[in-house]
Amino acid sequence: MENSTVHQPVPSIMVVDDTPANLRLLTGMLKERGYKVRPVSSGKFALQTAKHDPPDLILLDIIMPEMNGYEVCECLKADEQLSGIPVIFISALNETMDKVKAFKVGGVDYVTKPFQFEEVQARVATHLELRRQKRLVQESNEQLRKLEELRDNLVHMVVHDMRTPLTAIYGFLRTLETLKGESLSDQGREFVQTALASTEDLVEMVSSLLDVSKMEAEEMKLNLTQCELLTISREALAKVEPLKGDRELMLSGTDEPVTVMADAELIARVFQNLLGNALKFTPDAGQVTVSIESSADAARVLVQDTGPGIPPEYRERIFEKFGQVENPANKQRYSTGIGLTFCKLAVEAHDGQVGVNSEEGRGSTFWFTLPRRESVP
Amino acid sequence: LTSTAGATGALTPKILAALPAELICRMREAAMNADPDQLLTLTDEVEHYDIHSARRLRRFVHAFDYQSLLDVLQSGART
Repeated sequence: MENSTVHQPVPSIMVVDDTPANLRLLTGMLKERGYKVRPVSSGKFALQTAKHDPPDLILLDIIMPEMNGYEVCECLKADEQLSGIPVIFISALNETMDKVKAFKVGGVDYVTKPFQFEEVQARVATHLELRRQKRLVQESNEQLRKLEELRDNLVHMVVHDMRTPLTAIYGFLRTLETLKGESLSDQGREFVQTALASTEDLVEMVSSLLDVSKMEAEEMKLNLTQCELLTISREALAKVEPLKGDRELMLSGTDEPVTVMADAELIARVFQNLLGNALKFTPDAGQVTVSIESSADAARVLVQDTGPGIPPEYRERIFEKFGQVENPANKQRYSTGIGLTFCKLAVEAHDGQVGVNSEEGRGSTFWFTLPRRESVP
Repeated sequence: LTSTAGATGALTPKILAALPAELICRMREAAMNADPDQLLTLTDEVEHYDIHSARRLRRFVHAFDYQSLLDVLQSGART
């Protein structure tokens, strides 16, 4: 069997104190416990040597000539490369305010002199372990970020290559539909209609994925014009009408035109995504209502449904790409896909906001805002 | 705290220039790392060249005064 033991490097501890006797004492004790110790007698040199080779932890005296411990700690925390090093103050100052100040400048702990070495050792061990765990989490996050990047690149590549054949399929199906499928049976024509609808869904998915990639890379150019949101919402409602089944689709609220400076095509797709989503989760005989509110600063669009609602823990995750959530009604897990991510990025590209209010068992209201501005920013 | 400033004068750049450049380089690296154990090992090597210089360099190390040590080594390197 393979030996899985991983040898950790010996932790390096810098001890900063202007009294050599104190340095010798702490250094000797810490070395006995197996640490690599770097004793330093001045704050200024502590910063210099920390930059040269950052230690895993610093034990820092406060009262020192030239540069006191608080100042040293402030400099460490201001330096991106050194800010993560835990600093334990070790000082004869024992007033509460001294300790509060030590934490304020970035210290993680405080030991008063004269100290019991066991206490110092316990605190050192604790903060080294915390630091180790923090590093592990950071490394995991970095690995996840790289995997996510790899996934996105792969998805982008596949989707990009899918677009051309998909467009051809869509084109031929359209031609068949236009020709009314004269040589086809009734069932054949029905098949063409179904294939066309599914291909349209795929084209929409491909476009959304490519647009999400562009928006994430901030490469999406908005075609900003004066758009009227009531008109866009009516068009979107008409587009999803065939999907409504027994559900009721409504437009409520203001009848006054609501004009914003926006990319009409993107906003139309946001409407369609939110409406499609609402219909998908609203049971038969339920209702989906669109309303638009207007103020001097912004327009606010609400898409309300009478679906099962979204548990609080999923209300942010649903806007993430391919976020996995569980439907409370049937306990089934499913991917949220890309639609809501597209909505979030598209709205945020307009400096707007997007979100959801939901009540489990009663329904959800997805909303987004678009700032009202007179001209192209 | 024992001042080591007085000892600096005795370590003339000429004496330090007699030390191998590689040894000085290792001492500087050890000083930059605040590594007294390594510095003491290296001062033992200095002793092969000049016993008095080694003794004076050790005083800096015992006082953890790496900056003065670096300053001295720097002056030796310049000659």
